[in-house]
Amino acid sequence: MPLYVLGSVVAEGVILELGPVLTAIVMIGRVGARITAELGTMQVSEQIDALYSLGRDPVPVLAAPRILAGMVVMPALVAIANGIGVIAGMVSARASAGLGYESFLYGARLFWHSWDFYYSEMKAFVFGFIIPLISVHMGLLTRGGAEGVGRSTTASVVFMIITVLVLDALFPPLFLN
Amino acid sequence: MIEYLDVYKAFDLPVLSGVSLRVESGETLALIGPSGTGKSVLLKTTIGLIIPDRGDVRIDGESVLGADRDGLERIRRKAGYVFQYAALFDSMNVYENIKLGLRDSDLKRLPDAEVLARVCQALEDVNLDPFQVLRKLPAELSGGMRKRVGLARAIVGRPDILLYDEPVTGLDPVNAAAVERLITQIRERMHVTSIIVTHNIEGALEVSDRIVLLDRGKLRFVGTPAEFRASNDELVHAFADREAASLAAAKLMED
Repeated sequence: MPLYVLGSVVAEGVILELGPVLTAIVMIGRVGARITAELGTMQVSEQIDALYSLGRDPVPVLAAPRILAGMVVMPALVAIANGIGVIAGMVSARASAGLGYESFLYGARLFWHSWDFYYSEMKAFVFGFIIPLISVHMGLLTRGGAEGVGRSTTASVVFMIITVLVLDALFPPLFLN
Repeated sequence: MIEYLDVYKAFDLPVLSGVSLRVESGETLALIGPSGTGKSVLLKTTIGLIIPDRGDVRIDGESVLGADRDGLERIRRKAGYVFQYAALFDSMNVYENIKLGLRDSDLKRLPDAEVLARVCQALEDVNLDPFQVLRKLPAELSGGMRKRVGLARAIVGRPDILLYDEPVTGLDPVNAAAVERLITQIRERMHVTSIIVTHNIEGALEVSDRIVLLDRGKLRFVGTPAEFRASNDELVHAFADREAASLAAAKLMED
């Protein structure tokens, strides 16, 4: 098998799978957990009740901006992650296997379909929607003081990771056939 | 006028067991009782923050339970709620916190200078210097100041009803007395209907027109401060008199 195939394996692996999923995992740890903890703390300190008492619905005030931000930012982050992933793969292939940049790019282009890009961005968009949605929901369900905030943050992270992996497994049969 | 009609609420155990009560317009009612007897739960049912399992709450004849989303928002706009630990929004400064207490229609209609003037007026009403606290975050305020900012947020929308959930809990005697004085001043100035959940009996007797003693989810006593002082009820006596409270506590420990 020619060595330039490494280019297509790395590019396809990063763009179809690793880029969206690893970025989602990082988002869960950094953003999802933070949203759940923040809204959970607001819940147990009666700040959510205060919003209701002021005649304001927490969904447009607290949930909608976070979900919208996730849907906008996640595709951009995945595009950056994909770019960095492919460049890192290119550098590693040269360092470890002696594969030149041109050969790597030739291999990457050989099996490239523009649909791969849309597929990756579609995954990012769905993950960008589902991560803040779950984290906001779990945050607003928090009960029971500081211990409750810890419990709901842990549950939220586990739930988000499982959901992202399940959705990721559903994508190929739905969009790659 | 606020009416509680046979209100029941249970979480794991029953908390409110058929509470019926009427609070007249302009009246100040103090809600007292042992911890865990449903005082705060009853207060939260007033504006639908907790929905009763049975019964109803009516504000000026409008059912809280039967209200749709817009109706509930309208009911909530009639009331200002002062939370036990103020419940100020951590990420917003004092100005932004209090501004949230204004109606959306006012925020759209009023120029920024008028909004600022109303926020400053609300702060002055609770004896805070607007130019000292306006840009501060809640974390930069003392406990007493946070309570007063919470009170300013509750009154800035000029509500007909004020609901206080343990307004002096956690305050030193000087700050507690200051907050009680504010409650009296606001009642006299704004002629609002007030319900105060409190453990501070002296304060309750001072500021309220009627006292309600809630015990195990039921009304144990309803009457004026004078009737409260004269009552022969054992629990009322325990709340009114420190010596009787010590005896009741000893009996509780024995049980």
